Amino acid sequence: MVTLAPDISAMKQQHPALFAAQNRYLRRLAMLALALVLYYVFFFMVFGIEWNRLLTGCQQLGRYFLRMFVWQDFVNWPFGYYFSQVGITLAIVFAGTLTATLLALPLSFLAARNVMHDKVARPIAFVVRRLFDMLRGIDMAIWGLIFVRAVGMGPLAGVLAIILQDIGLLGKLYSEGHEAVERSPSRGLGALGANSLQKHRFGIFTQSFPQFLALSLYQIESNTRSAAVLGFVGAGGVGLVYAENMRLWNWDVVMFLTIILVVVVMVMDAISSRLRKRYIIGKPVPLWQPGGHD
Amino acid sequence: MTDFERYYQRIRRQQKRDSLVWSLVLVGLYLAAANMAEFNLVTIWQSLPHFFDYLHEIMPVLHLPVLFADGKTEGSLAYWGYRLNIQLPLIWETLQLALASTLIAVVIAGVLAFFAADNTQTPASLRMAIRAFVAFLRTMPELAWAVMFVMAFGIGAIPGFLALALHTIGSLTKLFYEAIESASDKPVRGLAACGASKLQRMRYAFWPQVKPVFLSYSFMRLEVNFRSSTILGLVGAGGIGQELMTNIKLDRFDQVSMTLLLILIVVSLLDTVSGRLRRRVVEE
Repeated sequence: MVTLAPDISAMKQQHPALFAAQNRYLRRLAMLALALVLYYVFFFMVFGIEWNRLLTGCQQLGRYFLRMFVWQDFVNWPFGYYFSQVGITLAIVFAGTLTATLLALPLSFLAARNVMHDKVARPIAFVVRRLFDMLRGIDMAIWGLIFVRAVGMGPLAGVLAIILQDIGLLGKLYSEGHEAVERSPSRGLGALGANSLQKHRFGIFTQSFPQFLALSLYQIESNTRSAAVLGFVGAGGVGLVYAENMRLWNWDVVMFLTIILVVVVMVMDAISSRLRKRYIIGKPVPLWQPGGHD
Repeated sequence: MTDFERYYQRIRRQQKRDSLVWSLVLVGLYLAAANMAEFNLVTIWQSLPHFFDYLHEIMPVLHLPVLFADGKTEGSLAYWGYRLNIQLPLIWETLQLALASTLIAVVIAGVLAFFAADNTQTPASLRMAIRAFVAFLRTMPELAWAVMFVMAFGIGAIPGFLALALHTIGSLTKLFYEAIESASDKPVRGLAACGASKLQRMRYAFWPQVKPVFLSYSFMRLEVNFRSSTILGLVGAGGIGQELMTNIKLDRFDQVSMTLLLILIVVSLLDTVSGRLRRRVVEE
């Protein structure tokens, strides 16, 4: 009988480099962990709070969480109000994202490097890209705050905030989509005598359309999740209900709202993934059969 | 009319009808949503001038001849930035908040994701519990977490750190377990056939496949977190947000533009740095 156990010590001598790799890896991991721990020590030294404040805080938190699971007087809650606010949030998201999509699409062509490739157009593309960066860099809630100050409280401020933030985000992503397309269809169209608008429409946009659709759907979904913060700054929607009920110590309502939002987001997820499948992969068209009775 | 033409006309009609119906549904939904959100052309027309007025007002007053004069002269750069000694430490705090919360969230979410993925032989009850828990964490708005922690721990950076970290754990865990689920299971089965333990399978079969995805999501999240950490101050949870909100509410117009400018500079710097790092780390 042949023994199958390998002679490890002999192998270690033959291939020292291979066996050293694991040690080196572990050493690097330890260094990384040490750096992480040191960073957190620094962080808590600078920004940390005293022990007794931490302890009372944890007690408070425990109390909040306990109250979250005891739903008192559930039947008398103003459900109509809660659901109308959730509805307003959805409306803000839908109106805002769709408008942003419509505005970002033409702008994204102005920012794409392969559309704006001649000497005159390149500075325009640069300016549009910096504009996108500016709109994207400022958080939705800050835009909300600015719009509440400029146009008054209410959902309109929320819609405008979403529009500005999303023009930046979607414009950048769309233009990256336009830049990633295959160049041959455009050249072919050019050879056939298509003008530049036709080339962009049929040579570039046909290719980047699936990505455009996927990004827009994804953005609606992700805005549903983040639009709740708009209410905190007075820009309409469910955040207002959150803020009110937290101040009133109604933690049970907070829990209820969060569960409702989880459900809403899950439904949106399902809808958007179905739409994505339906429109990006497309429905199969029955092929024509010669001699078929059609 | 030939056979083929009839076939072609039928398909064409069907496609036209489909696209018409769906466009009408979309337009209807859009109009309904816009109506609910008080968003229409008339109010836009009336309110946009206010917005541009506001933009005009927050523009700083700068005079070219005295641009580099000291802080006492109106119209100089130093006069515009007279609160920089307060704002710069706040921006630093914001950056630290984003970094600290992202790092700890990446570590925790990385561990949780392995228990939440459905191809790692975790018991179904544990998997569902973790998924429900992280869905709760990420759906509760950051500001709601922040308000809660501010009520418990008082005003400061720690509530903001906790709020951001919890929210980030929620969203990163989802992205991470989806990445694990899309990993190929051939290496896993190969290692299992060689007698690898569960931990070894995670380390040598899953981890090499998902590591680049994890890293690139983490960098993306760092950028997102810096943007969110600028708003935590609105509820007193640390960072530049408090300063920004006070400036907006007290109509210190030139300081609003200064704060926004600071935020934009840091955001674009962070984007560039993290983009570079991501490329280096992911391609290595």
